[in-house]
Amino acid sequence: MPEGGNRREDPDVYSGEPLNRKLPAGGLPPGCGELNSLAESRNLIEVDGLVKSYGPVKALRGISFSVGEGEVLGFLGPNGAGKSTTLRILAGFMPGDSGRVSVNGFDVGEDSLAVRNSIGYLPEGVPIYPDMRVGEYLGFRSRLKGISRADRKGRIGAALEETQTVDVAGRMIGTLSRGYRQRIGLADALLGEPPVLILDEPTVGLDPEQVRQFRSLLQEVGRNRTVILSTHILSEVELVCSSVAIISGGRLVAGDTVENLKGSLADRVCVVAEVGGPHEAVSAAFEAIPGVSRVETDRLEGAGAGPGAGYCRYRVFFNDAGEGAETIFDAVSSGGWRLRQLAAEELSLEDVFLDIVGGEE
Amino acid sequence: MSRTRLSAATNTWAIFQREFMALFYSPIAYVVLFLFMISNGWIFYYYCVNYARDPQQITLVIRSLFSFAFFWVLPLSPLLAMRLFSEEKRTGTIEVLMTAPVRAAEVVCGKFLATQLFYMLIWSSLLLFVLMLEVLGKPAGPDWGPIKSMYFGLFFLGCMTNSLGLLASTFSRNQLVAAVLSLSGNLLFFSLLFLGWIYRETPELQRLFHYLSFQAHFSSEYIGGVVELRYIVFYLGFTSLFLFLSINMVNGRKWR
Repeated sequence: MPEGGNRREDPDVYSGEPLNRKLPAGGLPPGCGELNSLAESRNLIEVDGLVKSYGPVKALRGISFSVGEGEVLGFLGPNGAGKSTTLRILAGFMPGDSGRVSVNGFDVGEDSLAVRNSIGYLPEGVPIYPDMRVGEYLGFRSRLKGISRADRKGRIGAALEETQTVDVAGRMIGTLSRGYRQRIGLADALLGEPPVLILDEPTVGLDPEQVRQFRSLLQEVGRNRTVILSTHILSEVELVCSSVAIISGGRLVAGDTVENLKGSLADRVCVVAEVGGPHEAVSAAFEAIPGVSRVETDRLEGAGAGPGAGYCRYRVFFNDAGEGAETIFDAVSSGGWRLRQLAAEELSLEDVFLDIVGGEE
Repeated sequence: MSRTRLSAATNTWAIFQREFMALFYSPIAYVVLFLFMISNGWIFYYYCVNYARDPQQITLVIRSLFSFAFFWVLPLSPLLAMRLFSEEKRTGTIEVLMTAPVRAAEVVCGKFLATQLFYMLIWSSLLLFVLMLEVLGKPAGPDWGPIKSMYFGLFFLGCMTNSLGLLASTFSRNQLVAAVLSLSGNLLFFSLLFLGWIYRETPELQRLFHYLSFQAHFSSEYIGGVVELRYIVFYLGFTSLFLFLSINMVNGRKWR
């Protein structure tokens, strides 16, 4: 949630840009309750019924969401779900086919320059000119962003400082490692001190240490800005984001705060059972239990070869909290199999994600 | 209002500088410059050795030099302009560029002006040869009049071919495709004189083709020492058309 930014006291008194606080007409899909209520604070990003096709391919089939001031939204989805398309439209790189998109109160289609003035955008893969030096490049970018000559040096210095790239300021961008290029891209995005940051897969291609550094950097810069970042890494969302929008097949399938999203599945249960027996029969028996949504099977190391001899670990997902473990015990005993472990497990965001995305298909 | 005009100028200037520097970073510019100077240097040498014993022949040497060099009008712009947008599209930097608060017109103009300046720089390398004759060819020396009008004409011709090259590079993410496209365009203008010759039975057609072809302009500028206003209007007309189409392409690029 916002940290009480200086412009937030009374959104109606705020005299700058027009405020678009209209809620999506058709309402949001179930599970988007929190995003709706967030619309009460000032929304820096509003997307309403966005549709986009590439020829016959429907990339977005009507997406609506909004991001409030100071919020860090994780845009989550499998590859090809439409994440990049949405962010490109938000950044004013291409128009949607229909639907309304506004950033910082400006319509992306009608007031593209104003939108681009209020965003910092880091596209997927960080395409930046390899034949320029870092300082040179940031100088070029700050001129494009209309930063006055007097401010330029200070802003570039601050951006380099913030992304910890001061030591490579004189290097050729083409010679930098992926992690540094990523940071230069972020430094560029931060240059104009935009109220909105749009980051497309900012941690792809980084090594684990770089990912860790980049995440703490994101937490740092997200403190006083509205950030929307796309990723398919769930732990990233849990670490960095205050809310999540999950998109699959061009549709928004869930949108909520991280806590609520996990909480909405709190009444769902995952039971882990290690059972010795023929695994097809066992998992079929578990799937037949009423209330079970999904069963995952893992063969255990050193499991015996003969039928009925080996132990497997089963993760059984229940739709509602009930007597999960007991029904499993009953199933095992009526099958005459052996049970050596039975435990309930806390659902991670990953489970929520798979549950939602899997449920869509 | 004046503020937006100022920012348009700063943006164009920033893109112009970046693009001009990128030309110096790219190997293609050096390769082109090298080939240009080698080929013209060889022609200059050949004519000097064989014809310039007599100082009166200096005019012949210079005319031959420029006549042969004129063929560079065909490949020069395609080679210089092919990477302008193709490269940005291929590497994806177009996405970063166009999500900055810049207008398509500013980007197109900045890139065009940078190419135009580099184009004129390459042509000006020929002046080294002329200067040599000026210094060593005393007392006759070259006649600067036609050279000046030649450069004047080359500038406007370059505007047209460079803007065509720029337009071609907005069509494809492949530099080669862009170069071939704009080279074909140049060849079309170039071949009009021959078309005129084919249609010499119909004077109207011949006049029209002759009017549109590069060579006719060249002979009027260099041999005649005259830059006719209609040619300038012709070149600038096509330049504006190509730039206008490029701006539309860059705006329409948003489908990708």
